Amino acid sequence: MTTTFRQDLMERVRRILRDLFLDNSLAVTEDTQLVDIPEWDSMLHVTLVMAIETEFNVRLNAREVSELTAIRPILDVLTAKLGTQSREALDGSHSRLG
Amino acid sequence: MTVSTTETPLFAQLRASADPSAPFANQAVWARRLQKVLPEIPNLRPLRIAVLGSGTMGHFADTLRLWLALEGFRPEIHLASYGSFRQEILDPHSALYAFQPDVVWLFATGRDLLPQVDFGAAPDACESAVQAAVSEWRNLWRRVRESAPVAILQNNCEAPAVRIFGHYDGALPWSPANLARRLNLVLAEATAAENVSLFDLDHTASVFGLSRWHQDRHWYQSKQPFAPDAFGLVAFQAARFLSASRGAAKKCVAFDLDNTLWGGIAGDDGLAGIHLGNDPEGEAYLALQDYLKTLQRRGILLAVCSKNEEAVAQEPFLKHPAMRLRLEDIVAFRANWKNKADNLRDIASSLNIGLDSLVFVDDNPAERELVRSVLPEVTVPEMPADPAEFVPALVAGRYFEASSFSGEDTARTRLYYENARREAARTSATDLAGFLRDLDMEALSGPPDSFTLPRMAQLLARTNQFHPTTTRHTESELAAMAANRRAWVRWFSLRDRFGDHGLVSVAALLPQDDAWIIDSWAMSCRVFSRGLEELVFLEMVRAAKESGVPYLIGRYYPTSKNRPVADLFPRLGFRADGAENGGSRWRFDVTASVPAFTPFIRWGTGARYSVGKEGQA
Repeated sequence: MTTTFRQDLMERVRRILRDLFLDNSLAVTEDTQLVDIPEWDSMLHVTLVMAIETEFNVRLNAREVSELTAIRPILDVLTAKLGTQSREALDGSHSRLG
Repeated sequence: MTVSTTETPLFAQLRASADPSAPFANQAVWARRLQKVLPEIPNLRPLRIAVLGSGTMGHFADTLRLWLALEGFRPEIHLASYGSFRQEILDPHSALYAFQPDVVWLFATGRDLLPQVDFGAAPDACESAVQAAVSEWRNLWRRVRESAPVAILQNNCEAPAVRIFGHYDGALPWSPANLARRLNLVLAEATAAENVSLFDLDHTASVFGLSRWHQDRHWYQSKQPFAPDAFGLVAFQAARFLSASRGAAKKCVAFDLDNTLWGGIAGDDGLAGIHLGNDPEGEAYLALQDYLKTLQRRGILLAVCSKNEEAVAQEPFLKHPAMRLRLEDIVAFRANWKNKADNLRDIASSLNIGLDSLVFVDDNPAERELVRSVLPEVTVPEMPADPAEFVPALVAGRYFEASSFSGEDTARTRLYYENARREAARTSATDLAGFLRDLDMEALSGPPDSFTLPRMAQLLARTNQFHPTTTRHTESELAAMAANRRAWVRWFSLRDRFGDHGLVSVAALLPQDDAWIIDSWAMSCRVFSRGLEELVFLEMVRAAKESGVPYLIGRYYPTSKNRPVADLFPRLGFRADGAENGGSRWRFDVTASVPAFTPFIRWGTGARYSVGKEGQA
């Protein structure tokens, strides 16, 4: 259950990054460090944070944002914020940006 | 919006999906897609714009680039380095001036604009603070202008988020809320005086929603000057405003009638059956009419483009008591059964405006789609299903932005209306003249003889329309008249390139005192509007002169049938000469007046003529 939920989050975060990079084969795993993505910069980091807020309908405070340097902490913070919600509530909220 | 018909599929896709109200996350993705295809998009107008503001402007600039491109610009954007836009303005050798902008946008917000006053400051001190703040910006504009002849766009101050008391702030001159209001008024006067364009950020923020606008966490985290989710709306509105103020303003709105201007179908439901002002649905249509009327008063031309019978379409304009729009508000009225793309083309050319300055409003999705596909230059707003949403949709679409307003704008409809009527008269006259010239007409004339008398009597007996006196004469009466040496009795025949009409007119003029009185003048309805009456009249004048007769007297005795010649004599230049036997009497002075007619009929030679066929009057 937890594994598939996390996989689902992973897929949606991957989708956000692929949309932002206009690259449907961009390699993104839990171990990916954001700075390792080619052309990554601080502007993109801000954009990613706002895209995550919109996609998952969450608000990230300054301390949380400062920790989001890799995919694993992103999934961790989302799991913590969304874990209390039922999976059903999240179903159907999948949306591709654009 | 300038739309190229050869735009790339990706750009077309962006145009279809991009939405100003979407969150920043979407704007960012669209902006990155645009960035990729921008170099390949043809026919965009270059625009170099410097966006000078406090905070991080980069994310907003990406969104702005997207919306400028969708508006037909190829944008180059310069951003001041963080926190230094004032220095860039004041330093004539700065990167700002090296960039050579077309537009300098002073992207101020409340953080930059709101005057700081002491807690509980006196009204005088508040006013001084406001004036001082505005003159600082005025100085910046002047420095910009000294260094470069550019257009300047200046934001005003959005309402502050924080209130000291709450509603009581609205009553206090020193409250941030009232300082912002006062500043905006003074700033507006200053921009007008300095020829600076005002961007009403306060308005955009309130449209977006003030509580959503003020998202300070984005300022704390990444120095976004206002909520990133509002970037799309600000960029879109700015792009529309810049487009309109740089020569691409919309000039005309062409609209459908049934279920657009009123509810229901005028042709089916009848004048009393349409919804207009008399019920909740009707009030919504009235609101649209009021909005259109306001556009018209500020100089936007109104045109009708409807699939309808013209008389049916015009009836509500003439007779419905609730109609706000009148026919004289409409500079081009196209109600017919042609396709709407053809009618819009016709409207644009008759007004001598480009298709790209036309906005087409229609409730019918199929008509909108047709126009979008056939005429991509025309702006076609997506209309909501509920007429109550028509006006909000048009307002939100920002189709009619302008950066100035003058007396000429208010008079524009009148000017176009009169020109259109003049043009219509000229066009139809030109067409008629061409038609008549092409007919290659030839006339013959002569006094009666045994061949022509039967047809002459028959024409007088049977003609009811072109026959001002409706006099009937037998063959022998006509022969007797013709025998009078002081009278003038003639027949006229006409032929054209399609054939011979035969003997089609008879004129019998009898002496009375010093004049010739037109006892009878009949003409076959087959040759109405060919110029033959003018030719016959010229011949009467010529003969009168030759015979030393100074006056021609015409009489019109109205009947139920001869209305077509009610104005014959005044049209030919006769002057009213009193009433006679229930009719009117007309006089023409052949010595004083020179008839100014040039009929497209030449005189034939020889005595060839044919007698008109029996039974044709």
